Amino acid sequence: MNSSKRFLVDSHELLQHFDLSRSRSLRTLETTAESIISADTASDFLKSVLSTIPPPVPLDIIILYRDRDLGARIECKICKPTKPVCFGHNFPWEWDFYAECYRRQLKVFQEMYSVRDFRLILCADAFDCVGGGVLYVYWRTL
Amino acid sequence: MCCADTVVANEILTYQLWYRTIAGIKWLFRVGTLGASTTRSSPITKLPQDLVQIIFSYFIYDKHSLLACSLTCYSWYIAVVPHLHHTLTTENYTYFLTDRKPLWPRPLQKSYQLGLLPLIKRFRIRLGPHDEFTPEWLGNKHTLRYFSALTNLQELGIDNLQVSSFMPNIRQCFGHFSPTLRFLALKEPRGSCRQILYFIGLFPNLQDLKLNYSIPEDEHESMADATLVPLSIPPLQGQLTLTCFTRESLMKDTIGFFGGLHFRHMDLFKVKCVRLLLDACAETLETLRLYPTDVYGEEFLEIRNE
Repeated sequence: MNSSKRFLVDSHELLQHFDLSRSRSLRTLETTAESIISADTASDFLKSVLSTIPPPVPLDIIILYRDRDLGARIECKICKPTKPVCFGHNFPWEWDFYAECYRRQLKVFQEMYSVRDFRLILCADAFDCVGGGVLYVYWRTL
Repeated sequence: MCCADTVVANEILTYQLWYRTIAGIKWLFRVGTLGASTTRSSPITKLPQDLVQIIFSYFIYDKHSLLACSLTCYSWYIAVVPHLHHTLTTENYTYFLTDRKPLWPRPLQKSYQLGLLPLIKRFRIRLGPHDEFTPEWLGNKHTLRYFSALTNLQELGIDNLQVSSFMPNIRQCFGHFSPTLRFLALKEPRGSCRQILYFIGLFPNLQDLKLNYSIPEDEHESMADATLVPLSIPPLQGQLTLTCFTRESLMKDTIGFFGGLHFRHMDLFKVKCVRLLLDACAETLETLRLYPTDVYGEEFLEIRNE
């Protein structure tokens, strides 16, 4: 990507909190999917943080998806107490809601690439038994 | 007819006895064979113990399976028992109960009586939001004895620890954790900077530190024990997790007394002194977890938009 088109931070004063330019050994930035609520706020925040990391340094961005980020019900009233996490009793509109969340997150990731190159790692912190539900949600999103 | 009937009846009885005897002998043989098969050593018991432990480590969070395995044979029991008693959590919510501290120290007492406390690696004391962990929780000599029997503890978590109330005898209560403790998690710890720093300094092998507050508060630091100096300088090279942390002067003191910070991983949510921490760990930080909904992040964005 052309560096001239990349996102630039105008004022150094803005980065008084999250300036990572001095971090010499930083290789991974992590955040949780649930903290990406607003696409604009999240992309502005993450772009600003990313812009402070020197470009030659290879960087991994890890997005952590917990059970509830993947549409799971924790301690479902119907399944309780047999299943700690349930994918079976969601309403159809809930799947649509989660699909919309993923679209929003994909937009944030695309904008982050405008700042610098990085390797995106989506980490699903889900139980194996609910893997089917996770795949279903991703299939609906794509 | 009567004699003939008697002879037939005797013959039938003899046959019945004969067949019953044969059946009995066969049954005995069958039981004998089964008995022999149970005493024969299973191939699974011939596996090296290290390998067995690796296999069991895959389901260390599945307590029911661990328990079933521990009842299988002695070698499996030996392999499983450290996982089974790895963690002890005492829940002491008293919100809905009239009797204060109803559960404490029952879990400790039970484990102590069974001789299991040396097996515990992770100990967590959970309290309700209105409870405070003060010396009176350890006031009973029996409780202190149970507490002292946690000789191999690596991870310690305490809610609402009133560090100031343990001073100046805090070392007597927690000092026995010094050789082994690697991870310290404090939720809502109370005390002056120097008191908390002194408490952290009790553990010379500490690698990971977690300080959680429920809401960001204005910093009004107490000056109690202002001349207190930590007894050791822990390496603190693992993970630092801070939530709603606004005690900048505590971090400054930590950096000052411990000669900087060397954490390799940081998880920061609503932390006031992010810049200070990032600069302190600039040489060692490998992984940083941030949250776009972080209030300080939002403040930062507001500044930017202006």
